[in-house]
Amino acid sequence: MKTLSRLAGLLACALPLQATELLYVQIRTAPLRASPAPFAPITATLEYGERVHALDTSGAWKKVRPESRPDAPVGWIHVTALTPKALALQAGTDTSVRASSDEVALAGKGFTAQVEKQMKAAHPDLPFVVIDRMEKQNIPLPEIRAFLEKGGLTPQGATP
Amino acid sequence: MSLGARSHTVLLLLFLPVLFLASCQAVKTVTDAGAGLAAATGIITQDQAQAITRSTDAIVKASEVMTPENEYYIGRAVGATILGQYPPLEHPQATRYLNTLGQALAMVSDMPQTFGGYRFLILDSDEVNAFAAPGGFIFVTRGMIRCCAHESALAAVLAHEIGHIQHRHGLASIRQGRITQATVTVLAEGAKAMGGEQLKMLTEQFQGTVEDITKTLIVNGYSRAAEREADAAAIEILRRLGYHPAALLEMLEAMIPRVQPGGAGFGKTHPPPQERIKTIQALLGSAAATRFQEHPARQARFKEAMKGVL
Repeated sequence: MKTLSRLAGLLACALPLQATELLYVQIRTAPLRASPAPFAPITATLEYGERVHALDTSGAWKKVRPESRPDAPVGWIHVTALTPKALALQAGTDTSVRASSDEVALAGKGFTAQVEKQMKAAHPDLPFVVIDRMEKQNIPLPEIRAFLEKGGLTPQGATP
Repeated sequence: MSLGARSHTVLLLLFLPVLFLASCQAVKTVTDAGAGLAAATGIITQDQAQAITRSTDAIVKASEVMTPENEYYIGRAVGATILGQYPPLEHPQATRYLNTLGQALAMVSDMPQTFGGYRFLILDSDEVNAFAAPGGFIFVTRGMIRCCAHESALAAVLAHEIGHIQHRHGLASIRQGRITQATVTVLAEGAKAMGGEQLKMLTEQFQGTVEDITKTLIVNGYSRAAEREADAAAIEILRRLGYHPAALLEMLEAMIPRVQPGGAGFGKTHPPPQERIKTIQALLGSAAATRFQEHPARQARFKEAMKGVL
């Protein structure tokens, strides 16, 4: 086992030599922004599993180019929305713009929709329906910007 | 087979071929396969895989292995469990206002996005309480909103809860060992389609995880250190969006007569407001002494949105 651990360690050391700047979107939808600021205009929306090339860093933001959309603009995305890990795709998702199949071998595992379905079946009384309703409360960016302006709020680093 | 032995077997299967393959490409392929499997499961990284090989009773930390997607599904189930005990308040106007304010605050936090986004809901309860379920599902009771004299104070409550999400405190309350079990279940399953037995085990581990977090949120509360972290995050979030951070102090002062130490809600799960006030005063420095007038437009829209809630 010692040899194995040492070998695994060696492999881990060798990984950075690949010097990959490839990252994956790890949230359902991620806005690509015109500048590295929370309320900057959204230029495109990336989806879960999409692969991007990181070009630059500014604080907690990465300037990226979506790999499979040559026409998509270069934009900024918060680092917490990205992961260097190749992500599993869920069954039924459109793979044409996502990572290629040799990098993503398996369907989503762990605590996922499949497990939630099992829990719902065992506890039909739990009000997941209220959670579904709660999720619909997505406030569009223009409404949030108007809210800030009317309230006399000027966020730090916000674009005018 | 013990968990440790099982994980050893899994790791052995992952890395053994390396011993017999010499070329760089072969090594890379096998490494990728290992990392690919780990990442594809969405639950373990190569570092954790190595950690499992080092110790038969290794504990896998939830905060290190959970993907935002995993957190999202845990948060949905924790939220549904909370809603089983606290009914939601049906008030579209207040809900819209709460989400606009909350989502604006979340956008300037250190974790501006979660897998499914931040969502906020009022609970129809007089108890002074607020909960942050993993993934960004935040619940605030009417009793808590009554502690808020204005929008800035409500912003302080929401910013504190966003602080818990940002620091992923919910995951830290999962009982030790549970995530290791779930990790091994997923890893051992490998490339096969998930079988009935594995799905059953994983569902049990999922429900256990949800129970651990819900119990912490409703009964035990987080550690004092976690509460301090959430308060510090709240101050930063309020500042970044343009609110006066002393609003957090005002809110806590209003809470003092409404919360009985050891009583229901915050009295049970949070340090006494007086204690938090002292800590926050130290963090704020001279800003703590400032008393501010709420912006008239904010005051007006808060009162309007919360008609029938307060």
